[in-house]
Amino acid sequence: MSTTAPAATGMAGTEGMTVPLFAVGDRVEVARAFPPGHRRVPTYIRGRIGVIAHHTGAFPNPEESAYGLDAARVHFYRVAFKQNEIWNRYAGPAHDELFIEIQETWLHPAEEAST
Amino acid sequence: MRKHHDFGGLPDEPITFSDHDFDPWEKMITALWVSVRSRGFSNLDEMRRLCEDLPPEVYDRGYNHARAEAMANILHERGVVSRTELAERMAILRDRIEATP
Amino acid sequence: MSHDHDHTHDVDHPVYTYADDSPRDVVETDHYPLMVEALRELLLEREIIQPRDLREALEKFDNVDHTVGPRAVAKAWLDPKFKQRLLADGRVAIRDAFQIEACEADLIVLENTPDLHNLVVCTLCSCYPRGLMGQPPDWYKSKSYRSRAVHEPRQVMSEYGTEIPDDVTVRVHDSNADMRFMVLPLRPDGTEDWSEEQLSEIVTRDCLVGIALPGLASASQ
Repeated sequence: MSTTAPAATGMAGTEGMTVPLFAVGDRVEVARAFPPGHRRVPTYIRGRIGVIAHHTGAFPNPEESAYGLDAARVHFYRVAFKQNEIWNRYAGPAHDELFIEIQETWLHPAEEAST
Repeated sequence: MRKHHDFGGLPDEPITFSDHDFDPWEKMITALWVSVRSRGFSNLDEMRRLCEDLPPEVYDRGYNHARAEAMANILHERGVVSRTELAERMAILRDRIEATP
Repeated sequence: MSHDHDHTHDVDHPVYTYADDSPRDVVETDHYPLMVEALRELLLEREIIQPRDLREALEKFDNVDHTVGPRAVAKAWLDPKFKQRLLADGRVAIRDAFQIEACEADLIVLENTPDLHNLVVCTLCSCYPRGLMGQPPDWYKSKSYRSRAVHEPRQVMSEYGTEIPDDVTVRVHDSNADMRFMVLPLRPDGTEDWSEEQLSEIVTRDCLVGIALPGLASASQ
């Protein structure tokens, strides 16, 4: 799966922050959690496993800024998924993909695929 | 567990690839929102949250309809313009329009 | 007219209808125009916003230069160095070449290749590079597009009239956070001697979202 990532973008807002937990190529799992409140991680991607394609930078946590709170910055990543690993009955070819931005607080390392 | 606005992955009908010219009120709500945001009174995440918290029937009325309701709610929440005051002003405006020959 | 109370049908319950049987939750056609006008008056009166904020916002709404995106694509097709800059940092490349702000955070330009076709959607709301492309069309904001573009992109594109062969990867981008996206379509065959202006004319807004392919048939538009 190709993971072309632009070079210059992605450093937005990262000054003074902890280093990103993940690197391009890391296998990650999106948390399978359903907390109430404003979240920007769609239900369809929760619990799914993908690969870090790009670190887009650090931005105020939308889950906090949505409530008018002084939101801490969190690292965001574009994560690459195989469509046939998201949907039970994906009708397209096996190489079709979906990319989505997920904040670090919703990601944890995934086991390596055992193939 | 899936909130109403979280549409990704749902089955749905064929798409009508149409667009429409904006009514003046739609342009105005967009401009009001941009202005409110530029003054730091609210932010995009808050607007999204307020739209998401609308009852599904209200959310489904349309993008600008939802934003108008969300704007009314944030002003009410902040104690700046209550829903009652807004309704009163709307009644005055309606009377003004109906009085115009 | 009286009816027996049937508690399984809410619409018959006296609380939910007016005396004339009309449903209570009908929204009159002038409701939102009135609400928005009332909001405008009150926001100005309470000085939450200033008249100049509103003037500037209205002007911005009207004055989006819809040619910038297509011209950026045409320029990228003709100038490999510009293309590299565009792919490395879309917002800066467009600002330097065209003096507009495409979006607030970063603009990611998605390059289509003979092996890859990109499509953009925002399933959670309708994020879109408004500074570059103005307001998104109704279909982009529709429940149907937001629902289906992620799980049946090929069917959605087919409904539009765009067919992507099975040996080309379709990559859908859910624009759910701070990045904004613009597709850099593949340059069609048969345009080898074309000028930047001619090339920009075949790049429509829909090409920049990824739902359409630039076609020679649209050269006259």
